[in-house]
Amino acid sequence: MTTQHFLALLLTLVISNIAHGATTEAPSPSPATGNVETTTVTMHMGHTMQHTMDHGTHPGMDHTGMDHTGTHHHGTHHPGMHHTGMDHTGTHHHGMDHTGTHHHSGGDHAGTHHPGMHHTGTHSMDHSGMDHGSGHSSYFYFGHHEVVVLFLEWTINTVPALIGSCIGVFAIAMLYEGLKVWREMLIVRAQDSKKAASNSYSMTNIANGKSTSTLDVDIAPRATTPRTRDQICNCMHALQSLLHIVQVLVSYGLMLVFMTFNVWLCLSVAFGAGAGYFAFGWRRPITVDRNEHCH
Amino acid sequence: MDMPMSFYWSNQAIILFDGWSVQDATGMAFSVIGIICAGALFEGVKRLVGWVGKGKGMLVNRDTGDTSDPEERTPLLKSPPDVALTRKRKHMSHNAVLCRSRLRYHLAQSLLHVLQVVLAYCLMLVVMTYNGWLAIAVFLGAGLGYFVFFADMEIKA
Repeated sequence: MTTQHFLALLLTLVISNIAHGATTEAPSPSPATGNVETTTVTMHMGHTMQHTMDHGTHPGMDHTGMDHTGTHHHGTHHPGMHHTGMDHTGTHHHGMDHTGTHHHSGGDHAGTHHPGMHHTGTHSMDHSGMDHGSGHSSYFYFGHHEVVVLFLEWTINTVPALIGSCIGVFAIAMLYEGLKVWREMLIVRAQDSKKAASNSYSMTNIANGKSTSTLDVDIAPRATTPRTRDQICNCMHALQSLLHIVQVLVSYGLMLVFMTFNVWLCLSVAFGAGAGYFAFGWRRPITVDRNEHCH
Repeated sequence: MDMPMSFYWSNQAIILFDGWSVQDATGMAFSVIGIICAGALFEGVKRLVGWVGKGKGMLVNRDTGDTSDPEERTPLLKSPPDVALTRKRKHMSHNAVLCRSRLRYHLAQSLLHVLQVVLAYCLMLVVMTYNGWLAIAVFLGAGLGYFVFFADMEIKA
């Protein structure tokens, strides 16, 4: 199963995150203005921000001049923000000018759990006491609060929404396995019909649903090809290419769903893949070679 | 180190390396084209791994002595995450694997496999930037690469 290996990848991600967090835990003076705010700047990297945040409720915090409209902070000037001891390797602050007196203790943004933090719409947010830390969880968690799945609109806040999302993800994983089997079937069926067309092959085998053709991927280009085969080839190949795009899309989407680190969603992906493999596997036209343990 | 958790559409992104930072539409357009090429190249490398040593008697099934390539039964229809996260022996090695020419081909195939895994992981990391344009570039690159490099799948008579 691909998910097993994906777990290994995530494990390395977690380990690297922990290591990175450890290096940024530099001892630095406590914030001068009393309000500890882990910066929101790193949160906005890469986010399309279409609002202005109202920071009027921040005693002592000077955010005048901080421009959150727009997308990136490259080159913007942040008076009042001072990041002592913060390790910016990996966080994207090219060209930023950090002058001022605002202190950020630590600066460790990894590991703090705030999935689903998003700033759509115009609203005034009350930052007092709210931890802006990392919007991405680095470890598996059980929960249904503020879970963002792939798109900002797909946010889970309640248990029924979580259950519905789990069922949806289960169905998508199942359909993904079905898509893979379907593509194999299409190829074999096309080659059966091609063989019948070019070799006046007996139709009884096709009618019985048996397929004796195997795929032979031949890199060397053929000199001459019969016309009927060309026509079938091009249509089928175009369709296969489109299905390949869909397959790549769905597989990446499932990977990203797994990356939400929500245990329920991850289990849904895994069991959906298993159910799909079970349900569609008996229709697989070609038996899986015993050395292909992870298809 | 924070990552976005949902797809966004923006012309600014940092792709894989700190130095590859895209600021405007032109940079994003070039990056999209580059990633399409990388995705297509990845599909090409997938074909290349099977092609190296194909006609050299490398593909001998250990159990049955069958020389047909077991991998050629549709596992090439894999998407990049499947490729990156699947460790499988693509070619059976004959008993005489330590024969010098076979070793050389096996070494070449292994290096190509490393390249394939690296490309697959890089493409996955590009999708993980959650930038909509870059993700679309990866998907289109995969489709284009499949269309170009897998165009000659033919039946065995």
